[in-house]
Amino acid sequence: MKTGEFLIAAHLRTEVLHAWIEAGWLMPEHGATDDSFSEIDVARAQLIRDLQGMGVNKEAVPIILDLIDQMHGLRRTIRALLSEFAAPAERAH
Amino acid sequence: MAADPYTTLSVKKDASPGDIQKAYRKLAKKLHPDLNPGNKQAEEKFKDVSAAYDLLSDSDKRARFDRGEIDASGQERPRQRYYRDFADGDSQYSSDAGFADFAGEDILSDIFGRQGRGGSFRMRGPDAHYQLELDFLEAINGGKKQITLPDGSALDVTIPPGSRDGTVLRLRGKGRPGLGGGPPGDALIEIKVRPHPLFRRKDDDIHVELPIPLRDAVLGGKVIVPTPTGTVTMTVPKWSNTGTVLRLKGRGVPRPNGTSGDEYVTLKIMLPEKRDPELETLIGQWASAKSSNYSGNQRRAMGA
Repeated sequence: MKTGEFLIAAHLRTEVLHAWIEAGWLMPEHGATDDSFSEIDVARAQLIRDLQGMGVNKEAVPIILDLIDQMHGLRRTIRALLSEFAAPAERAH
Repeated sequence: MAADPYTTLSVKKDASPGDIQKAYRKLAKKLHPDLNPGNKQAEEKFKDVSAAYDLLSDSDKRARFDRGEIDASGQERPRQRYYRDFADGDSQYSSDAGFADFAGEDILSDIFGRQGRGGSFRMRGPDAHYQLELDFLEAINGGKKQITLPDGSALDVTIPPGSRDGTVLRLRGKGRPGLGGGPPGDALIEIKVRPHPLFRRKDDDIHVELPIPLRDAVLGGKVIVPTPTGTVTMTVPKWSNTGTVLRLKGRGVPRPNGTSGDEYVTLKIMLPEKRDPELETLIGQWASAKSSNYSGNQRRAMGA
């Protein structure tokens, strides 16, 4: 989606969005004329707003985002391991 | 029918806005679905807590609720898409920083390449683990061995000379097939070495105990010694005692660099199997001639 649609979907003001992109909290795809956002950016913006609603200050937001992203990386890996690597060692002869 | 928002947030009817915010934050930190990606109940509870907070944090709505003009229903937010619903896939936010350090040599690095948006899932096949039991000499001397896998297929394995117990051989691409066009995994074959009745291995050296006849122990002579590559002839020096260790250089375990360890032969004097009256007489004469000297030697040898 384009920037205008994203601002509505994420309930954000333009200057807040710029600040978040500046800080690296959101990473839309940069197109020739406009940035392009997807559903994950909307959900991530909502998460940032929830964190701020919980009293998380702007120093802590990127730390939490980074740890959450790491956790999802680990979750994906564990899921792949569980589905594919659960086979026990077999005895050859 | 939504629950009472005061109960949901565990606050009193007359709680101050500050108390309500504090109660909400405490619960939200615990229940936010993105902080509990594996907890399916968290989402439902968080929704209730958010709805209760929406109502009670708005002084106008709270007053109308308290006067009974509105009830708690209708306060629920439209179902929110949480970050966790998207972050499980591949995205510009994906991070392997939580495990990149153990990705170096093994399977993990290959599981998820960074493919960008819309990339399809492509995974290297998992490694297959096998155990292979070898005779002691097979492991020392190496060679080719064909193993039959549980699925009936055969796999040729080259055993490197000098393989140790616990060595893991990696056969590239002989593991399970990859997914989505990914390369196959490796076959990892752990070698178990059976013990040998004569030889013992210590690092790259071979130790063996060799019985020698009394004659050779006293007068010296040539004896036949088993080694992992066959028998060799060894010279026993005159007057060799039980426990004497002789070294056969280069007769031990072959090393990858082309050299070999040594074989250490521990001598063990054996009397003839059958009683030999002649020898007994001879020793008797010898002993009586040397008796005082002999017992003195023995006492010294025992530290007395």
